[in-house]
Amino acid sequence: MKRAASILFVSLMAFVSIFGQNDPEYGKFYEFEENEVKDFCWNSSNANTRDTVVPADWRNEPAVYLYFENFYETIRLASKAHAISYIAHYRIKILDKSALDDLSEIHYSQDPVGDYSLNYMNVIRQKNYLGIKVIKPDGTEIVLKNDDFIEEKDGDKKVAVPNLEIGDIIDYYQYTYDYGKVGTYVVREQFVIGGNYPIKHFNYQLLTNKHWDVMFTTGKNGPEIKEEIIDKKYYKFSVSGSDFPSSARLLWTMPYYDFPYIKMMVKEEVKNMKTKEDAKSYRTTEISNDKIKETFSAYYIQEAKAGNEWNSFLRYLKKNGKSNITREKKLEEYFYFLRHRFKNMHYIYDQYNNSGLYLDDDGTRQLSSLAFTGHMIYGLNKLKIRYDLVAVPVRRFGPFDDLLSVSETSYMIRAKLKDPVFIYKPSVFTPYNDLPYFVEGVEGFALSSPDGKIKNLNVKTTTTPVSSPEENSTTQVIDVKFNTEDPMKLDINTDITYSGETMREPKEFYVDDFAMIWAENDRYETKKWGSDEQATKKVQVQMEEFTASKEKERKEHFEALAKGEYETDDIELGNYSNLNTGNEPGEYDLKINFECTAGGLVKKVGNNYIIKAGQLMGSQVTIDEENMERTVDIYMNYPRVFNYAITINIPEGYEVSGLEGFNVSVNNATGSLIAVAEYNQGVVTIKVSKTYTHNFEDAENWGLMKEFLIPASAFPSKELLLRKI
Amino acid sequence: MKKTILILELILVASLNLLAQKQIDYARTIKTQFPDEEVVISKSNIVIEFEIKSKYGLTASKNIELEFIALEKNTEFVYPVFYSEDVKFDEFKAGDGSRLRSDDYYTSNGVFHDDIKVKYSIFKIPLFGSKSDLKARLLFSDTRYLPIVDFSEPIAILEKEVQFIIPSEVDVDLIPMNFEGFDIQVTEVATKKGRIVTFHANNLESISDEEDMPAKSYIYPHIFIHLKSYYSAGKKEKVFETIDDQYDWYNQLVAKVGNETDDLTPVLNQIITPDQSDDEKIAAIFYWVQDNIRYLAFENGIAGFQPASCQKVLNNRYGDCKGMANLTSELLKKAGFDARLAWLGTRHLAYDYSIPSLADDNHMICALHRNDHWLFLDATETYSKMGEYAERIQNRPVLIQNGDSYILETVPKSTDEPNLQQYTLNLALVEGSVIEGDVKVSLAKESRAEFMNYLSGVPSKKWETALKYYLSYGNNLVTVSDVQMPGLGRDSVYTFSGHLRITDKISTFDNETYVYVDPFMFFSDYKLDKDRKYALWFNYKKNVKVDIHFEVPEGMSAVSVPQGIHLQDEEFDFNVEFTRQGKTIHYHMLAKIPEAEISDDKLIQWNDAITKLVDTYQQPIILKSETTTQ
Repeated sequence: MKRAASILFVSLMAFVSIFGQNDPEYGKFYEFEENEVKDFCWNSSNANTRDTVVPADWRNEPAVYLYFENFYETIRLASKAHAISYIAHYRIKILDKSALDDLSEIHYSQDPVGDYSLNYMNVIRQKNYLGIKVIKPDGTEIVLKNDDFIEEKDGDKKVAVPNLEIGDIIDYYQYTYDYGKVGTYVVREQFVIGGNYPIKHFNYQLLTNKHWDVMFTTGKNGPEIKEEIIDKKYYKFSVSGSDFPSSARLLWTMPYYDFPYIKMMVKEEVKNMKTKEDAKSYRTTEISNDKIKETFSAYYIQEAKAGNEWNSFLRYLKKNGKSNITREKKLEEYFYFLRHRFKNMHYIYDQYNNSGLYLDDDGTRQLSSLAFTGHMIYGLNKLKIRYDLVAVPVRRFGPFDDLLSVSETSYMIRAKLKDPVFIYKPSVFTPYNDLPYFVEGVEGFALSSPDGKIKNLNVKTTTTPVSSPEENSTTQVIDVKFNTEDPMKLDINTDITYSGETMREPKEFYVDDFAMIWAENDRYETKKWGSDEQATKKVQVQMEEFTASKEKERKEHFEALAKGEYETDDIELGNYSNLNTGNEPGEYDLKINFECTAGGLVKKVGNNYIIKAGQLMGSQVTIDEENMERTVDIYMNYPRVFNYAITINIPEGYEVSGLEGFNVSVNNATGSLIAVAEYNQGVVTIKVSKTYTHNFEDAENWGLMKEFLIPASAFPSKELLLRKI
Repeated sequence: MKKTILILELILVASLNLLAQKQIDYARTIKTQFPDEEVVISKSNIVIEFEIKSKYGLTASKNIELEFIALEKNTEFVYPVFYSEDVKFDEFKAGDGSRLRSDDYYTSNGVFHDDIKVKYSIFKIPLFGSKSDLKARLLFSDTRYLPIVDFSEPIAILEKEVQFIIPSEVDVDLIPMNFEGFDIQVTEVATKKGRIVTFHANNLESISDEEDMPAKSYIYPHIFIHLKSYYSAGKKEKVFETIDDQYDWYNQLVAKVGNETDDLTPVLNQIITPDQSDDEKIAAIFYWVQDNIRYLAFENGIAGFQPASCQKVLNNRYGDCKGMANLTSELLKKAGFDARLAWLGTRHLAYDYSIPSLADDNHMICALHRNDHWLFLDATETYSKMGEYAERIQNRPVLIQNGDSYILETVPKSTDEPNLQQYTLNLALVEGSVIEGDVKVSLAKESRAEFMNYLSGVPSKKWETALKYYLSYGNNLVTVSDVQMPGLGRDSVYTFSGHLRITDKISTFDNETYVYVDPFMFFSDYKLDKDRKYALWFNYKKNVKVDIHFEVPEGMSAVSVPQGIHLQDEEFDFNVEFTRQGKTIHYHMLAKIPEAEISDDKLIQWNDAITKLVDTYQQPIILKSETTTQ
């Protein structure tokens, strides 16, 4: 009771302070007429809405938001329909021509504001008002007459702001009211506070009636979220603050970790607010254990029909003499067996027919998360391997503490072996024990039951591991010879081994996928769709064309790889192949090979030759002027190491100079660049290793990173001289 | 009964499968022909029918029927239909998988056609081989707005038929343009009421997306419709029989603009003063419009051919080319000068007023008559100086307002000389492996305007960073300091300078130091794809000079200096020279593209020249310690 009184008092005080005598009533924004919106934005008693002064520190900015306001009002009406009204009000001082150009045209569309994720088609735009005024430096206000300046077709509007000059303030608002006929609504918004231009006064508000569930955060560096009850029936959540700087565009950033931001989600939940009266907050500030259980328990239940697949798997093991392999190996075999049965065995048929229906975005057969997880868990139970389900947010969308909804999480099975094994719902190329980089090192939830029973499910917090640089290595073995016919060209044989994260994309580009699937068909004794032996004559003919076009694509990928690796367009590709697929039991790397003849890497100087040997390492990260200094932390996708072993066969009659330029040794806590070059019996060997130790570094470590990044960026210009003896 | 239904269902499913398979097979055949396309137009039928209506005069309808076939799964594409104010849609209907987007204004680099609107549909076809279609019917109440029919489109076309139904009372020439090399047949059939002309085209590749290629009006087949006149109730009505007719039409549109020049007086009094010379007054007015009127393709004139009034442009502080030309012209007239409006087609149009048509022009400027000469003022070129003409309008015929008649002039053509882009560097080898020294950059005319456009799009607080980026090409091995730069003024030459420290242009081999002295290596990345089909257009005639004075350090001598190279053709000229003068090596590079174009039959020579130029850039100056040399 005391708390309710306190909230009432706070809300009354807030009401008095924010609204003047003529300010309109909350909860009825959807009833606003144009003049009321105008009063709300331009005649508010809030002095910040009339600010004209740019802080001294920001006078060299292109523009400054003197006032930035977004206001959502979500009301469930008595008719069970929904009234979603929205006001955006911006007051911006223009300080240079680039900002003048940016702000001289204002566009807005008929699409709903925010992200109406459900029942989008049932949202009807009822009202859409726009107000624009220009305030000249002498204080003269010019209010645009909309009829003169707005082009409107089917609700889309474009306004060319007249008489706008550097030094002016443009002050404009947009109001929309959308009526949702039926269904459940979710409005969500996420943005960094302070983008291109800094914000002097920031005001973000959400007002609902009792039938909504509100989730809301501003990030670890964000301003406080205030809650108020208005008129005993409206719930207002507001964020206000001042002096938010603009954010620079830097290399390797994740803005939701470093900058204040708004992440708001409101969804219909009948009478939800009433259930929270005794809680500390009217917001849903964290995901409850019960919610996690509710969401993932279905996945935890072992699939009753999984027995058939399991028995097939056992027969496969027996037939292949694998019945006595370790349970760890069995789990790996089971993953690939299931992947084949659920997904890969259909791959060629689906590719050939291009039947878009029932396919995932990557063009492969849709796979039910529930069914796959259930089958995996069935196997884990049979193998007596303990496991849990891990649900974590995607790293770049912000930290665990700011998680609002289960829908923001991604889930996987964690088999609790000596070294935990992670199993995601697979795609055709997903290997066993794949923990994607975007969920590495992320805090989340682990759901498990000590006895496998649903009633005993419990939820704990957990953190996913971060891979090591060595686990994500790219190793290139490059053998170089002078072309016998044209000494200005080099014949290059390249072996590349990709491991961990680095093989994700190459698998799709360089692996002969049909051969891979047919090999799986042989392994699991399933139909080899489209293969010569099993196809009809008609299919054989069509498959020839189809495989030829796919092979052409694959060859183009190899060509592009060669051009990129050796930084030259003068490439004649020879043989190319994947030495393995990195996609079957016991294969943890992808190995490919290609041969090419490359121009542009040799030049003749007098009787001598120069080999641009550094270019054999391909392009390196360069740091431009804007990124040279930084105060923002460094977020990379994953730790990694690039290894190069280059051998250059020197023709007889030449001696080599310039090896010392390739000897570099930088090693610090953030990474390293170790390069050693030597000449022995007609062969130059250059070994280079460049390592990024972590996927995150404090901003203060940027100097350490530059210690190895800048010397590495010099490699492409390094040369060897072959002097005629 | 149940069994019968089941059998019928099975037959139906089997038939559908058969049909689907046929469609897939057909799509596979097309894919072989157009392997890089995600979608093709399998059939395109355009019927244009002229009709004389007693109330409206000559009208036309244009029926468009298209059939698309997806050659990938989940194919997404947009199909637009362009139109203007005087064109109405009678029908716009898109088939399976489509979603109509509302009208929008079409924006591109041209000017008049910025007022063209577009209605478009977004198609999403999930299945390979599936079809969708689009039907549109446009009604032209004024047939002047039907100047051209294109054959090629951004989507490849298997079969396209364009049919004209022409009553005998209509005098129209259908002029084939760029038909050579394309499979297009024409047939003409006389009918009771007139004639039907049918153009049938097969296998039209999609419009190329090669970078910096010439405008499509130079390359792709289209029909230029010269609509001369028609007879209505026995009376001859002219459309555009001659250029006089076209000019009359333009002139009557301009007459209706409603300029109220009294509104210009206060601002004119701020711009000019009585003590200024005429040249100064003209310059002051032109520059004021450049500086204070933003170019914004927003005005919604009569299909883009009628300017906004001068007072409206002045009050709005924005306008399109017509509005800006009109304001410039009215300000000049009010200041006592003989200023006129002038129409022209920019370089992007392959036409020259030899046949009257609205397709002839896409731009408007102001023409000032003074001392028996014409001075052309295009305020949309924000950073051009008075008397300097952008490449896009140079040598273009221009139709100048002259009361009831017109004057046909040509905008003067400039050489590459005034566009000089000059880099002067004084460099020396320091610390054994670093090249260091000052750089001074001077940019004139179009190179100056181009740079200022680049800089004006960057927030002013980042200008120094942008300039450092420009001088170092974003290379962290080149450090730029002591940047000296003026604001965006109107000096004929924009000059800025800085200090460079370059760490990636030295190789050391034993006791020899190899120096690659040119940090810029202009045009080295201009080697074109060997499969390129079309000419290469530059924005303006290039004239680039790099002069480097490289000081050989004490105790060292240059044992080898590259020979340099001179690669000359009528369309390009590259000259690289190295000369010694005591301890200084002078490097001189000159690159010219005198016509701002490398034509398609010169692409092989161009690539060969670029290869040799790059080879020359990569030749080092070889320095050796003098003690070793001895």
